[in-house]
Amino acid sequence: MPLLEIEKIYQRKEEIREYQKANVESETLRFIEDCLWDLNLPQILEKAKISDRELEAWNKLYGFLDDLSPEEWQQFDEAIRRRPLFGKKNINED
Amino acid sequence: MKTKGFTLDTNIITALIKKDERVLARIRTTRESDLHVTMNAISYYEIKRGLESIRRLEKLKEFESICHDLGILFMDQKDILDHASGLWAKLSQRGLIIEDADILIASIAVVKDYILVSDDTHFERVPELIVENWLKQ
Repeated sequence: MPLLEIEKIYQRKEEIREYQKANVESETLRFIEDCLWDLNLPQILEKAKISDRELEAWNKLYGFLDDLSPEEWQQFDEAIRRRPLFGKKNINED
Repeated sequence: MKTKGFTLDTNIITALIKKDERVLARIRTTRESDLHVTMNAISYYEIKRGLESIRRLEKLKEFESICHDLGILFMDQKDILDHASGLWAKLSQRGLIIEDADILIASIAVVKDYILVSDDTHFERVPELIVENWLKQ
């Protein structure tokens, strides 16, 4: 609101100063609100939630197969060993 | 270009499964710096292959649930296959060919802007690919 109009409403200097102070404070609050809006808090919180889930998931893989027997380990290691994807004919074709 | 994070090769994921502290520590520090640590489609396939072979249903279910939260880098862009075929030809011409699975992993990482974490040195043959070995640091 223009200062002249304020002076019409608030007659005393103290009142005007009070108004200006309140105005500055509300502007500051609006600024903070705008900042928070720009930061997109829900998005930040969602991102943090995803991050936590991701880390938690990797933590679960640590020692994930602890209860495997030596035979099962051998079978697992053999199965995950990298081999040509397209390089060899199926053994049944021979 | 700024990397989005790290994608772990099967040998690194297996090291974590076998309780390698170094891998877990690096995952934690990477997450602190807000970079993603992901599995890629080929490693998912290989680990799943291992779990299927031991026929442990409860482990398969648990792995599915873990992967749901991890996020997987899929081969969901034509660019990945284009990059892979070009890479195959380039390496083949130089007599430096690597396995198809490696070519596909490398292409997923390059196209999606991820650093590959692997214990295999032959990935060093791939131009553009940034490789780290968390078992040697």
